[in-house]
Amino acid sequence: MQNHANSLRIARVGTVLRAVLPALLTTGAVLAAWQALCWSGRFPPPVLVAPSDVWATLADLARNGDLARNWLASIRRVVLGVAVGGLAGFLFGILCGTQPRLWRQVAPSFAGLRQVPFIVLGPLLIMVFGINETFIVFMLAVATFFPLALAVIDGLQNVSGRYEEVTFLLQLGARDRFRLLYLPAILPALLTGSRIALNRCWGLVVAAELFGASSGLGQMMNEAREMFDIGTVMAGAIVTTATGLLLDMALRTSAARVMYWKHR
Amino acid sequence: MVYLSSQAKALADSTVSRAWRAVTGTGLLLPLSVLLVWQLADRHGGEGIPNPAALAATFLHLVRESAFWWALLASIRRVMIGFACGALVGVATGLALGGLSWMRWLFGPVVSLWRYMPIFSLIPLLVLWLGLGEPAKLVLVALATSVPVTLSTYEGMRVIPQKYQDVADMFGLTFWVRLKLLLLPAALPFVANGLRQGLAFAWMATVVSELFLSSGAGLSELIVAGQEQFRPDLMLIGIAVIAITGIALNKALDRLIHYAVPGAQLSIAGESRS
Repeated sequence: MQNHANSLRIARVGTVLRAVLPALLTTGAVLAAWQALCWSGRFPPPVLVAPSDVWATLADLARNGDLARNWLASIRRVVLGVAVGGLAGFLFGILCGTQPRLWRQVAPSFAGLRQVPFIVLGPLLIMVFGINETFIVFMLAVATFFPLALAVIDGLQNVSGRYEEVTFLLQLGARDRFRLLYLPAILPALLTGSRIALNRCWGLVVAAELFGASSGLGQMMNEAREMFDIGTVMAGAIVTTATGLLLDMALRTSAARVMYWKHR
Repeated sequence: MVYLSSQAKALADSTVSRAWRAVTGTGLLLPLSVLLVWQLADRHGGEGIPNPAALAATFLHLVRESAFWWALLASIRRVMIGFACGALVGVATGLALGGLSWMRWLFGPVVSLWRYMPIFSLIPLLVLWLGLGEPAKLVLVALATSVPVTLSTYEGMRVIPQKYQDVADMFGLTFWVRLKLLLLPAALPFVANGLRQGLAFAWMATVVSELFLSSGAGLSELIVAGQEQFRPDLMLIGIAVIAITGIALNKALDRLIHYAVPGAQLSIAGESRS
């Protein structure tokens, strides 16, 4: 029995290793080449900084609290923006998904507006709100609104008529119909929409902070750029990528918990 | 007399109802009523926010100057070049990753991480390396394009049924023949969707690059000018022109794709469905 568990564990380690090994190998090779390039002295520090120095900068930023402060500022904005825009998009989606006559009037405008690159709203929002939290959160909320609303409408329109007939046969009330039929039906689309929104917002918050902010990862990187501190710029790029990955993983994991019937 | 007036009334009725149907049938009801309310609200005590009529006047004034058209041309040129380069690199990378097992083994996991990289976090780096000029902008646009195109192409080749691959193996097809007969046709719809997503990203990157690396002509100069002269009307017009140009670009690409890949099931522009 013990032996069997052990061999299972070894097999599992083997699978993980096989999946991770090439990534490690490639990353290692790239880092080694990069380090060698720096040591060769052809690209002096303002242009290129060795991975070891980027790592040292990252450790420094982590130690003196700059990283945590700016990271939290960016995360806070994304959470607020996604919450506000997500709620608005959800309610709008429910409204339009259940009122086809309304949706027919709104759809063309909606389709046009959602193709706007929302980052261009930045300067206008700065003029309206000033350089503060509100302008960034507002921009993120707008960027979240569209994919969320679209997901809800899409999910509601794809509910099979047969299921609706069953709910009528069972004489379910409006609340039960929503809880038992519509909500589970829109959840998968909602997950897709949320992933798009979160991914987009994380990219957008960095860009918005480049416009102007008193804190945040984007602001940290922009300030470092002005001082030709390329180590901090690269450290920031690494942290933003890792955070984007973590946010998506967290969302997927929690969604799998909610939609237990999908991932069995 | 009675007959005539009733006929005239019917005519008027049918004209009105036809106009009403034209407005509601094309989804113009909402934008038109928003514009109307905006215009009326401004007349009854505006606070410096330009009303639609004033915006239209400014716009008409603007399009009479050649600078506007040069800016439009510069932005379109920028997005076209960047998109073309990015799309080429993206499709080639995606095909290589999907078609060559050693490429997939080495780079697959790393490439999958790209999707999580906020592309604009590269702006400070690009500025440090390439300055504020045209090269930095084009590289940003090309990068923004290549990520979704690569991922989508790669995805398209991964969903090819193993059976087809086995048949190709059995016939001992070389890489190029396999590419032509199996991989490309299978990946084409995915490439198409990747390109559409890539174009949306490219247009956004164009605008962002113009806003941040403010040198040279481009549509964003309207927004920058509005910011500097504190003229919201210029900013609003800039946003509208950027939005409409983006939509027109998407439409043009869709036409092209429908022509080239008649059977492609297109997702909604700019959204990945994975």
